[in-house]
Amino acid sequence: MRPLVSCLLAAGLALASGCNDYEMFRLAGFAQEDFSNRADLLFLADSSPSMYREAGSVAANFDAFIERLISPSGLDPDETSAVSRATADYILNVSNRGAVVDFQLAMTSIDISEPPGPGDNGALYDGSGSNILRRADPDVGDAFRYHLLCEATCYLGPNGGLPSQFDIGRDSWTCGDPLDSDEVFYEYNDCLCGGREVWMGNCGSGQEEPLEAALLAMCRTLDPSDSSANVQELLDICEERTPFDRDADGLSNDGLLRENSTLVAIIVTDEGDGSRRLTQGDPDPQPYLDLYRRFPTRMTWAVIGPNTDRCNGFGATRWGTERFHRLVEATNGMYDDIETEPDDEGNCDIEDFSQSFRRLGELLAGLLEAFPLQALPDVETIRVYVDGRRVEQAAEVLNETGGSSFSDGWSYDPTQNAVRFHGDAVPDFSARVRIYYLPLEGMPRSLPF
Amino acid sequence: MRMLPETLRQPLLLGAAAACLALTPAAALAQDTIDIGTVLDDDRVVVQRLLYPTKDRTEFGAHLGLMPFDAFLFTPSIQLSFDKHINERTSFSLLVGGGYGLQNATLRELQKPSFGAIPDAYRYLSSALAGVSYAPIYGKLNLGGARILHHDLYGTARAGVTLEQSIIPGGGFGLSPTLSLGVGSRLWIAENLALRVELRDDILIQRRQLTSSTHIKQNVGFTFGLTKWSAKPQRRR
Repeated sequence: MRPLVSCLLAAGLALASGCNDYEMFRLAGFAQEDFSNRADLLFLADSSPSMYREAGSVAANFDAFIERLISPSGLDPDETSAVSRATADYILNVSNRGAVVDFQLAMTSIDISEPPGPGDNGALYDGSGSNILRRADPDVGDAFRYHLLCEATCYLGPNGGLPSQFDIGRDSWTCGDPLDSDEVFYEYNDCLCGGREVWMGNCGSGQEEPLEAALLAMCRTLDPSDSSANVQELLDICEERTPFDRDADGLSNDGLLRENSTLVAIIVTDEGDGSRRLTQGDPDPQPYLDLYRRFPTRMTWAVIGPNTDRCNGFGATRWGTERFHRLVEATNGMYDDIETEPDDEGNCDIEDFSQSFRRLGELLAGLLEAFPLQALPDVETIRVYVDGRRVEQAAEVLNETGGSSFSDGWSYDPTQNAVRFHGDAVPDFSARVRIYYLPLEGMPRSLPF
Repeated sequence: MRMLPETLRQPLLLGAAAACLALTPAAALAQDTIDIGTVLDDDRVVVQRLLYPTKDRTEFGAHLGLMPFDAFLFTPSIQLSFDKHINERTSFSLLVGGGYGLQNATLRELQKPSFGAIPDAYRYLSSALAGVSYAPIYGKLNLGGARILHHDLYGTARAGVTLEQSIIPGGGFGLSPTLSLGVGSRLWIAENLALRVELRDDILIQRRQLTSSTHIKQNVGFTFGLTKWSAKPQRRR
């Protein structure tokens, strides 16, 4: 009898020990590749007739932007070998990990139409021969400009309303020369597109639906043969009230969303959003945000759009513009005005997009300094380690303009649900980053015990 | 001499023997009986020779410890013990130890990307305990008919502190008041040497820094060790 009691006692103690009560923390950053430098840029082209001048300015400035992305080392990509550029980039990677972006570009229109034109309903423009342009592709800038100027811009009238090369002092320009201008001229388009009939008349509908277009572009990455509940539910949603057809359109944008990447939706528009899943007049884009979050990618929005408090020469609705602002705020993106402040006579002009694209570059670099968390954290419990060394929380310092900056360290960014590194605390590629935190809403899946 | 027939020889020998016994005087006479009353159970005392008495002896021990039952940690340790036996059954006990909780397979699996989780478990580092032991059972074991092993069984209650550390980096340390209950056995292998095995449950009241919360934690483990005894006290004549 006594041995039996002893055995029961021992078993009871052992069970009690195995049931020790531990709070379960989340752990992020277990693999360095999660600190991804990938950015999937999705351009939402506004092909309304009022936008051709802006498109030309985008094309002119985007060339420099692309080249900065390709060669952040500052070397001229045309004058250095691929090896020397790669070497310079590698050095830059090591010294400043946020400086190099592994980007890819794609473009779709903001039109949802039946029957669809090129680039409509979330389809990607592919006139250049490829619908997704990658960093390593040769002539990625020319391919991008082809999509923008030859397929996605609405030109009307004689010569599409564009000046001649002689009107802007480019007398010596010949076909094959780079644009090298702040303004697009029709000879350039003729050369780039291979004929005027290619770039003239590509006009979309007057109903701009950029939020819906972004959603359908993502829908086209889904595999209809994937039987998982989330994918099938998403496909059902994609087909609601749209021309999307899972069998015909599924996987047509395969490769748009890369694993462990951030989708950056970029739109330059003079109108607000009028997407169909939202009630007209409703400024809240939350239903779309909820849908975007069901896809396996992070997302942020960069908008160059109207300012309804001034100029607003194109009559953008306040609620439609407010949707953009809320998207940007919710995704920690950027919003720049498409027009300058009015002059003394109250006239506005198109903004200098070079500043906007510089900010876009900073946004992309900033994405690389953010470490997304998979669950909402109890911020007080966050502990951050880089290469086994603890990183302290950064102090937020308010500056005179009302903005703020951070000291070296990390901060929690609630809009991205991410830990963001600042200053010298930004880890390099070889660093081992580990972030511990207590989730507020428990674990996302059952644990193996 | 003419031999008697075989059939007569045996009865004659038996008769001679009986005659001799009858003629021999008695060596002792039976005494008168004494009434000692009824022998009760309480009057009986089993007289057993204690080969390994413990009274007034001290016991130093070195032990290897193991806490294998925690869900996430597997903890080897080294424990040093000192016991002062005040009688054959009771001793005062001191125990100090140190160790390090190692991650088990479950914890390693949890930290992989598929789960991305880590418990705020505390790993054992050190402990210091003091208390009493009581050994109500002393016995012998027959080992294969070739050897007799002397052993005892004891229970122990100690109190003290345990130092532990969160396995989450920067999660802090915890110095926890501890109540330790256990059972064990000594097996004497020589005059001044014994093997000792003990099953112990250390019950900690643990304050955790990351969550600013208080929890009851149990460290259940075994110790296996060797104890050295002081010499037997001299018997009075």
